[in-house]
Amino acid sequence: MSENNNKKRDWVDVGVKLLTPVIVGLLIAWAGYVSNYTLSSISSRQESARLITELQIRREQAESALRKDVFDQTLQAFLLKKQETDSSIRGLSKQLLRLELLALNFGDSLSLSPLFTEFRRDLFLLEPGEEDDLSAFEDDKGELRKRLYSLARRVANNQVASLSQHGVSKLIRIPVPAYNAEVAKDCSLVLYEAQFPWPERIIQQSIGIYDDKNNLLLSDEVIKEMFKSDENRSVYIESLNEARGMELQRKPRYLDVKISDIDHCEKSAKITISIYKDGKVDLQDKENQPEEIPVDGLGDLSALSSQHGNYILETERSFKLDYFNFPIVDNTRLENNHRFAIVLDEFDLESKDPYIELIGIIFPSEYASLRDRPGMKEARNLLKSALNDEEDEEDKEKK
Amino acid sequence: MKHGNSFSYLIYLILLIAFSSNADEELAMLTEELKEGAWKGMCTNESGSRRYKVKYHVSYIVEEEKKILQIEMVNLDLEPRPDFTYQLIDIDVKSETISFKIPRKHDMKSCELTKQEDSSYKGECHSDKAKNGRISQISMAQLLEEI
Repeated sequence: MSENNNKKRDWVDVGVKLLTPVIVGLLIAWAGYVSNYTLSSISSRQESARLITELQIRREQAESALRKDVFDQTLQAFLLKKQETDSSIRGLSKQLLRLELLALNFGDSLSLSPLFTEFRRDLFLLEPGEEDDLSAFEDDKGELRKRLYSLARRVANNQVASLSQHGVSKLIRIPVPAYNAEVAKDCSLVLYEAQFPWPERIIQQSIGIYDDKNNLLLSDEVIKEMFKSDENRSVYIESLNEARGMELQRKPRYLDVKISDIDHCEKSAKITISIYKDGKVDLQDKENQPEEIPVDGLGDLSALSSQHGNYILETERSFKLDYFNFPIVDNTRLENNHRFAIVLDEFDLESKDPYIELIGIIFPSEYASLRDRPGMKEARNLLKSALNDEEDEEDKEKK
Repeated sequence: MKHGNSFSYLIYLILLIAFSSNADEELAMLTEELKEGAWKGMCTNESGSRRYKVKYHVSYIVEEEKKILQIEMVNLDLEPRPDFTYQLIDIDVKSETISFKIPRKHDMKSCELTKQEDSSYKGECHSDKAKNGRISQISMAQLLEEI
């Protein structure tokens, strides 16, 4: 019995002794295969990622090199004018083609307004040369000018469309009833020698306290009668604030635009923009406060601010506005890393009710041109707000 | 001598009346043909490669007791507008044709238009500076509503 048992044990021992290295070997081989497979798949994935990145970088490098070449050559050709070729319609047409290339490819990063203005001046001063066809000279000049404006509008509209996706915009329509056949014939006549305050005047006209015929507000007595009750006043102020209110990232602002000297030939106007924010001004420090807001200042935020101290002037700027203002490049810095830009959108003086249309837009500074880098303080604020946003998201996730 | 004088005076008066009535008739015909107000049209350049929208303003003014026809033409497709606003000269209106000259800054265009069945006018202009005698096309039709 015991012999049989010993024989059995021997066979089991032998089996175990024989199978153990085989199983271990197999296990090691399997582990080696799996780890090898994993490592090779990881490395192949890394390789693919590296390849894609490299391709992307090379593509971008090639595109940048191409853009740089185009930029160098176009700008060089644009700036180094050849007197003999550029003082003709054909020469200026080529010059405009270069400007088109620059504007459509680099309009977001370069301030192109000086080139547009210079081209318009060159065109204005152009006299027929020997090679110009006199029967077509004037028409060709008119065509070039139209092409220049159309290019500027195209660039500005593209920028407004892209900024509007990230910011808040407002359409400002200024009626120009004084434009008529007589004014149309004379470039020396300007429209609105006195400032037209927007949106104040529009609201005043709509509720009938402004006399369109005489360009005057109704008499003080009539207006005082209308605004006897505080309710009427507050309704008026509310409708004004609704018209001029612009809110971006929970920061409400109020826009006031004053427009004057509209040049119907050059298609430009002088404008003053004032941007107010909510806040309390310490009225104790102010001397000679008006006891009551004058009737003609009912919609004026600065008058309201000095009376009630509810609005703080954030920025005020005056400049000449024409089709050559491009919002990504030509903008004003505001608090909270915001920017404000205004563009001339439409200059329609031929319709029954002539008007000009502007678009005001407030947008985050990261969408402004790269040449306009944020200052240290602005960069710190940007970092702070980014960190706060991250913390907020983490809190939300925890909840 | 006296008789001769009064006779020639009488003839002068008859002629004057005849001419003035003729002039009145002509003017009446003119105002009938070319009504006051806004007219629209198209014109091409000499090569025919471009078409421009134009607007005319027809008016009759009284100068020294005489009614004078004035036509102002504006090219609506070119800028600045004052550079492309022309006061037409040497206007001559006949029953079926109108002719005028467009005094431009660098050339003078002489145009002749013929009346069409729909009472509009179509014709050609020739610039005194055009190369190879090329011509441009022009049209004119009364506008019922201001554009």
